[in-house]
Amino acid sequence: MEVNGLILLLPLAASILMVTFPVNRFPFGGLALSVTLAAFLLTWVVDPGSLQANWLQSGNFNLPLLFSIHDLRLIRLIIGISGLVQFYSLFYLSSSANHRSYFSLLCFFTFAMLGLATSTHLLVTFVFWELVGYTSYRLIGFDTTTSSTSAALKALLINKVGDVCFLIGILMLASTGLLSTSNLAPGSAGTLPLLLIFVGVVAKSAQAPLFPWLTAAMAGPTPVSALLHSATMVAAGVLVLLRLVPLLNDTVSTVISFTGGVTLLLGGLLAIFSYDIKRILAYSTISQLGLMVLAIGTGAHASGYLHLQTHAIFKAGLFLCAGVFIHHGVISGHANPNDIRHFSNPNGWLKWSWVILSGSLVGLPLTAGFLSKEAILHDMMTFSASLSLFVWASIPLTALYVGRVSYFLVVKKTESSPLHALLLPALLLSLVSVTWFVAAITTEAPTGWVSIIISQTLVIAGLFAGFRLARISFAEKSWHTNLGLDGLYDKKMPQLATAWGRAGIAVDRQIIDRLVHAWAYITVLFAHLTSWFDRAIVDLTLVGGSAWVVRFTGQIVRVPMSGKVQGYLLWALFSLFLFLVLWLLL
Amino acid sequence: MQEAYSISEVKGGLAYLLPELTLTAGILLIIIAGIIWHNKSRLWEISITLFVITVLMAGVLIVYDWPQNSIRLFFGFIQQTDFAAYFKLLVLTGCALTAGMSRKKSVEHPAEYFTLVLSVALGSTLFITSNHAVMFLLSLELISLPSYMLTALGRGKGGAEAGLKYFLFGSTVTAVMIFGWSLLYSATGTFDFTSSAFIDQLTQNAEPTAYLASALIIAGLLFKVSAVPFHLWAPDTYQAASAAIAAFFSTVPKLAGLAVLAKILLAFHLFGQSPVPFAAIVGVLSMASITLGNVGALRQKHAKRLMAYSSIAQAGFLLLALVPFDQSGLHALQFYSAVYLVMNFATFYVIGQFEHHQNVQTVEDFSGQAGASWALALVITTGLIALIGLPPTGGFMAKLFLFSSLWSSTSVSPTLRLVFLILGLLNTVVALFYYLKIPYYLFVKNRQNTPNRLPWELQGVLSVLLALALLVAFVLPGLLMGWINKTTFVL
Amino acid sequence: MSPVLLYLSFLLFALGVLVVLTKRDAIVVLLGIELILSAAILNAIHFNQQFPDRMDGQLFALFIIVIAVCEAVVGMSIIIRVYRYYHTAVPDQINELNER
Repeated sequence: MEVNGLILLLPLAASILMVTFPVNRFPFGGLALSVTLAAFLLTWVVDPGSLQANWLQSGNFNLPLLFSIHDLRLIRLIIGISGLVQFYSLFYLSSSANHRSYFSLLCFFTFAMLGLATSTHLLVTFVFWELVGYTSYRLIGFDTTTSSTSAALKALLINKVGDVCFLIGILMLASTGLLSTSNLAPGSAGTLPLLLIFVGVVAKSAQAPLFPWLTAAMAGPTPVSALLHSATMVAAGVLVLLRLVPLLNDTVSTVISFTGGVTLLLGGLLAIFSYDIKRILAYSTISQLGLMVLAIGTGAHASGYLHLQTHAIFKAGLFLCAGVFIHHGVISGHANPNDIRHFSNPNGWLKWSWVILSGSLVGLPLTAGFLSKEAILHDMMTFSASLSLFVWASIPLTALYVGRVSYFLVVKKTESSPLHALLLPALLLSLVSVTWFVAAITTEAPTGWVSIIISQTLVIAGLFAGFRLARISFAEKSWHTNLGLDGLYDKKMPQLATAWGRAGIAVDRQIIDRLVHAWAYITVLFAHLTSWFDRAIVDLTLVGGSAWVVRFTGQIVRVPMSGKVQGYLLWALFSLFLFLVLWLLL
Repeated sequence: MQEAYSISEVKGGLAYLLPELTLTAGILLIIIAGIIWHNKSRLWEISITLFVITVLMAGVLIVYDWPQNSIRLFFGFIQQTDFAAYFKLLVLTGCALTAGMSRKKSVEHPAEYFTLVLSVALGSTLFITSNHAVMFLLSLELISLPSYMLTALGRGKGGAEAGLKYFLFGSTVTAVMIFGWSLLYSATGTFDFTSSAFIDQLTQNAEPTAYLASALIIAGLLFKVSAVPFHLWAPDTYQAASAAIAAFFSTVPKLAGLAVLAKILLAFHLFGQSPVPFAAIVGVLSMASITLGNVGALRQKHAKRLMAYSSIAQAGFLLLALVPFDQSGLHALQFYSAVYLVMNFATFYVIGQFEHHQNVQTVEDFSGQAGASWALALVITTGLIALIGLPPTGGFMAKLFLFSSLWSSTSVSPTLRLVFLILGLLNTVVALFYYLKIPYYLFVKNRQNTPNRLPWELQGVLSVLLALALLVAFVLPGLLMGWINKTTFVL
Repeated sequence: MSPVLLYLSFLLFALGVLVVLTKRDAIVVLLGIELILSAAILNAIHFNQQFPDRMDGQLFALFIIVIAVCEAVVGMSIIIRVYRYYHTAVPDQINELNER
């Protein structure tokens, strides 16, 4: 066994171990954390390479397990963020919660996500894709309350729509033999399979119009939100899209770009109107994913991939910060701890990590977000200037909502409670964000000074507008949440169907009832005639004959009908047996 | 010869599967509706609307895409023939009639209810066209599992008990049948039971395992059509189920099972070359079914239990149509199936309405109820006369075609033929006694009784239409028979 | 084709039928049904070895596994429903619907 495989297998082993562990009181969190740490350290030991094993071989059908452990940065990101989330959960989760299943699920999620990120065979990818979906379903519904259960169901169902399309797309690709993503020839697949796969991506990466599940998924515990909506679950769709880049043709690219662009602006707009911190971050995630999809669609996939990684870091950090705010709000006893208007700032460190991470989100210099955002901008300007309008429009929009939220979180006075362990992961992530910038600015520096200056101006203008906007309070309207799509699913469609039903009833009353009355007349007449006939005939035959026959024959059938089902089976099988014996004899 | 497994084959086949795809879409839509809406009354309206639209669409698609000749799809998993299309249409009619009969009050979970009924419909349509053991078993389970659940979802204690019994009985028999298929595979080396390889293998090496296997498979199908000796589940299940579901069980899965039984028996029969006298065996089974069903029905007091025994006896008559092993026998089967569907539903419709409004459970409860609705009393009388096989109903014509095709057949010896004929006719007389019990109580007994008049509802209209259809089938049997004569049975 | 596997599958089948007919608990009866199904699976895979260029036997076995799972799920839910009314899962004691 190669060492590479251990990276994948360690989280899986930990997860299985935890589920089967004989003792109930055990520091499961510690176990999970140490295993994740071991896997993380292992990524520095291994040589990049491929893994191959045979999974199924039957006849001429062969399904290999192919994994490529080449992109160690992505693997480190996934494992690292998982580890931080596990660490964070240690303090965040109440002691009464079921630690065993929670941490085993987290480990299993890490495994599934790693498998998804490294597998190079589309069928294998699909298996991990489903595993990721299943685990996220379990995690969203982890607090078994009504709202989180229905949120989990919603996430599962919307994702299933995508999954089915994805599977059909894969099968159609299979017929052209394009399952292994390592040797894709450009333009060799048709349009339809790629579009079907893209529907799967739309659902998984919460693109318009299949994004409502992501905001609903906020019902899960905050660390789970950080895990799902940063590096991992939602990135899965983008990762699959990246694999298929060589196959994309013009039609597909256009569809992808416009979906991404619309999502980018929609997410940003919706984030402006919410007061719920987790919801704002969810919309922001939707918007940023739109940016990545847009970048991939226009051909700027390298910078899109870069943005996927930087986004993973700062979005996970932002969620973990939000978790601290919420935690603080819960402790101080607010009725609605998610509402940003009620937030108070527990600690100066938190403030600074929020500033760095949100700076990364809008793409200020000195943060990793600056690198990826300017790279996308630059690439887009070269590949498709018209489509880059989406990005230009999104820059001030992002700054606007970030500014608005930051006003509530940062400008307020700071209490000085001691540094809580919950803060450490967010601090670490903001540190990584800055270090990344410092380390990469010399090698991956963005070019194009003009666009940098314009975008930075836009960002700063947006931030200030956001500070102003924060002072205006407005009532939340229905379309602010998910653009009224929930209303469409929950209200309009039933109304339509009821109207249809009412129309049917009206026809029933107006037309059929009248026919019925006419018919009733005729039948009464007929009835009088036949009743005389029946009396004469039936009296004669029935009264005399039936009583005797019933008594005589009734006992015959009665025997097996004891009411006991095994007795029935015995009779049935016995008669079958008897039949076979007779058959052999005759 | 194995076809090459290719995705284009699947894609091409889907075009011939539009009715089934429609049903699948309907199932999904109703499930989604059940997730979205929680108000029971509204959910009911939505689900039944979706249900009816789906079934109508599927029916229209079948008629529109009527297969002109036999088409093999999906590497031989499915074979579309006009014989199959005819039975699919019957099955969908049965489902539509079931929906018309269902009542909002007696259904606790509307979305689940209609999903399950529609799943049985989908299973049945696939089952009828199945041509391969895997497809056969999957679609059979698609019929069976929702049926178990429908039974268990029925009213209270009785429903749960009947569900358990039905489930244990059914899944045991199915398991035995699956074992039979695995044995048959060893004898023939293929699961495609209409392929020439299958028939060649069975003709050349006639092993005892092959006979054993075919017996086990036929046993499983006898369970589906509730024929002796695998009929024991039916009375308990029908008694506990609502009238709509009892009517559904007595028609839809039964007709589907029958269509497949016809196909499988023709394959086993090996064009008359099989050393096993399948014709005689089916005849004996059919006689046993008719006799045990009739005798059992004689002493029943509960109306739906009585109808359960009646459906066992009718299964016997339907099996009798398979004895001739020729085209005319199959035509008689098709005619009998259609008439059986109509007459059974006519009877159950009326039973359902009396049960709902006057709380009629046993046969004696019917006494003096004719006054409640003369029209319905007449409808049920027509339906029961048709079930006996007397003029002036389609039931008479059905039995006439059946016995005449049996008489002109050569598949069994003349003596045996005579015996079957006499026993069958004798049983028709026996049937007179229990079927006419209900009209007897309705019209003759307790005539002073002045029951509340039944309200006129959709159910009433439909039952009157069904009764009219029975009368039309007597006067103008050519309408249906002309259509049936155009279908040919190809293996 | 080794006769041992054939005998084994017949043995499994017979045991399954025996369990179905004699065991008191509905869940154990369900296990008996699974035994019959595993006999069928064994047969299908075993006979497939005669035809190495095809895999319909293995395909069949896979689908039987699927069917067995579905049956188990439906069966367990029905048994739970029955248990709610009767407080027992012994088929012999669940006989209110009968001919008497």
